[in-house]
Formats: sequence, C-alpha cells, structure tokens
Amino acid sequence: MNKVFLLPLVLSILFMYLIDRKSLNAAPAVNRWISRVLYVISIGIWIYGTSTRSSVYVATWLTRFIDMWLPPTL
Amino acid sequence: MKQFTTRQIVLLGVLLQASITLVHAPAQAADYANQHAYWTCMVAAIVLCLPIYVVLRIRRRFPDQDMLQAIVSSHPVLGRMLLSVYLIIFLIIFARDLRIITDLVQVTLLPLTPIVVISLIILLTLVFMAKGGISTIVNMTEVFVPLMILTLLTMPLIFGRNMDFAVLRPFLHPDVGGVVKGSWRMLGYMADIMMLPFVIFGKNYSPRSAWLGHLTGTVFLVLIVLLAELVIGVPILSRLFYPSYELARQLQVTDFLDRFDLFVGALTVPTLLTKMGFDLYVISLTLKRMFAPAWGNLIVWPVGLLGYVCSFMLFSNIVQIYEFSREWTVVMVMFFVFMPFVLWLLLRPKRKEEGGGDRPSGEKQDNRQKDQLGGRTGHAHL
Repeated sequence: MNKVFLLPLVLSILFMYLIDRKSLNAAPAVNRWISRVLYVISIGIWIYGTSTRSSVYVATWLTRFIDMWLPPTL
Repeated sequence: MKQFTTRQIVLLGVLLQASITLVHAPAQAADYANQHAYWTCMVAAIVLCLPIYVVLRIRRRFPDQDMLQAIVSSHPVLGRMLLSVYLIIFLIIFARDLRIITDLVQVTLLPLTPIVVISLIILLTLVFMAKGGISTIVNMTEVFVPLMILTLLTMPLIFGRNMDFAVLRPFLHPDVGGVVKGSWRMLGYMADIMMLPFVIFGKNYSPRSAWLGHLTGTVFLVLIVLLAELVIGVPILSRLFYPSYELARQLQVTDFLDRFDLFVGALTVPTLLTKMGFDLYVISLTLKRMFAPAWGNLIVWPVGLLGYVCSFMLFSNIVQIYEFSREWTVVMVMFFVFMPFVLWLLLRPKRKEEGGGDRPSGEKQDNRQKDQLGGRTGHAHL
C-alpha cells in the first residue's frame, strides 16, 4: 500500500458526504461529530500505516503480546 | 414485539457461524487434527453451547431490548466503556472478513483488478446493505443461506465415486493435542455466532431458534469439512489456502459445465457479503447505542470506511490473517465466551418508576412524528 491509494479513500468520503449531506444537516449534532472523527481517524491511520515500516502492523504486535500468555499446547 | 420468525433466526445463526469459517479454518483443522478434522467443529460447538445458554438466561430479564441496549441501560458509564471495547473487536472482525473476501474475490474471480478497487466495491455493497437495516440483511439471508445449504446437499451426489472413505482411518485413535489445536482455531471463527444476540434479542431470540441455528451451522460445517477430507484428502487439504473453493473446483458436471466452481462461487460470495453486512450493521448499532440520539444509517459509511482502512492497515497480508487465528481466538474466548457470564452476573433491569407504564398521548404523537421523519430520511431502519 502506498499514499496514492489515499485518493480513492478521500474521493469516497466526498462522494458519500454529498449523498448524505441533507440527512446530516437534519440529524442531531452528534452524528456530524461521529462522522468527522471517524473520517479523520481513517485518513490518519492510512497516512500512518503507509509511512511506517512494513513490520509495524497492529496484528504483528497483537500477536507478540498475546503469544506471551498463550500456552504452547494451543 | 416479535419481528422475525424462527426460520429467519436459524438461517442467520448458520450464516454467522459457518460462512467465514469455511474459507480458511478447515485447512487449519486438517493441519493439526489430520483425519479427525471434522471433530474440531463439534468440540468448538460444544464450547459455544455455554455462552448461548447464558445469553438465553440474560434474555429473560430484557424481553424488549437488544443486548447492547441492555448493557447501556443497566450501567450507563461502565456499559458504554464495555461497548467501546466491543466496538474495537467488531471492527477487527469486520476488517478481517473484508480482507479475507477481498483476497478471495481477487484470487478466484477478478485477478487483474487492483485490490483497493475490489475492496471499495465490496464496501459499497455492504454499506447499502447495512443502511437498509436488519430486515434487508435477514431477507438476503433467507435467499442465499438455503441456496448454500442446497449446494452442499447436492455435492455428495455429484462427487459420487470421488469420495475415498479410507482417508478417515483410523477412526478411533485421535491425536488429542492436534484436535485441541484444530478446535482452538475453529472456535475463533465459529464464535462469530455470538454476535447475533447483540442485535436480535428479546422475544425474537427464542431458545428454539438459537439452539437450532447453532445445531444446523455445526452440522453444515461438519459435512463440509468431512466432504473436503473425503474428496481432496487430508495431506493436500492441510496445505490448501482456500479448501472450500478447492472442493468446489473438484465438482465436474459432465463436459459442458467445466467451470462449475464459478457457479458455486457466485452463490457463496453473496452469502459471505451478507455476513459482512451483518458485521457492519453490528458496529453501526454499537455506535448508535453509545451515542443515544444519533441516527444509525449516517454512521454506516464512516464506520465502513474505517473498517476498509483497518483491513489494509491491521494486517500485512492474508497469510498473517491465516496465522493470526491462533491469537485472535483468545480475544474471542474472552469477550464472547467468558464475558456473557460476567454480563449475566451484572446486568439487571432497572425498576420502572411508579406510573411509568402509561404514556401521555402527547408523547405518542411525538413518536409518530419521529417515525414519519425517519421514513423520509431512512434512519428508521437503523
């Protein structure tokens, strides 16, 4: 994955924002905040994920962490 | 109010328990349990009986609420904290499933299309499915799961002499350690059935439908793993990445239907999509319950995009997901097998206030107006 593929992500955010625009204005304010926060988190994770080394994946360190507690029989 | 029939809930149970499990887990089971791979489904199913029993006990206390509502209503602060943990778990499950399906579709159907495009197209389907609400997902389940079961039932007729029962020998000398290891991996996928009470609870989630769904899903899985063993053989099965796809590729109906696997694939992929639509629905519903006045259908797309990003950023590749099932089972056991016991001890319905049963007529009118608005904007579904 690289940063070029951030473009489809941003485009789909814009596309869906245009579709949901009217409903978002009618909805409670908490809805707008949830959407904004989730969009920012998505873009943030993508930028962070594409700018680090390939070994730093959540599943990698989660595996290491759980491995410490897991008996070898499983 | 009873909204769904027993048959629908049974099919939903089969969908959650069996659909994603079919993709990788049989190969892992065969790798560790050898010819007793089909035992692993039964062992995992027996373990899952405990949380289902406990959840059914909790259900009696909250006849009109789903489990998410029950958690939030009995402990507003602690409950919301627990829901945020569940939210992350549901998100990882969704990301895992999305990555598995994207990879499966790329390998089997669209090898030249970029993986990002496939994932976005799948996501778009799922978003519209989840926006339609639980009734859309249940109706899709009603169409595709019986077709999947019917395909399975016709498979032995087509395989006929290709099945070699000698691979099951020796019948009664299992490698216990291997069976335990295989069951552990199987449990990580099969425990998805415990997502059902988070959405459908109360009168809809009757003991009959819960147990029948669990039983049917288990029998379905046992038959598929058994068929894969008989047709492909244990040594090859344990080295395959998509065992059930390989099983379908073995189907040959005379000369004119050489690519029968495409037909089976076309039936199976929508089933898997429906399962992921359910995943997405659960995540959106969890967020909706956490932030009470929010409209669920507007949360679906941001959550779906977050799941899409996570599907690429949590796992380096599909092999990591395959290997990750060993560690992921720990999380599933903690939150889907043990946590129901804790919830059973902690969740108590709040006593209704005096005279709370009679609603003033003004409030009823307000609700009717809200329903009309919801019908126009579409948020009444979720």
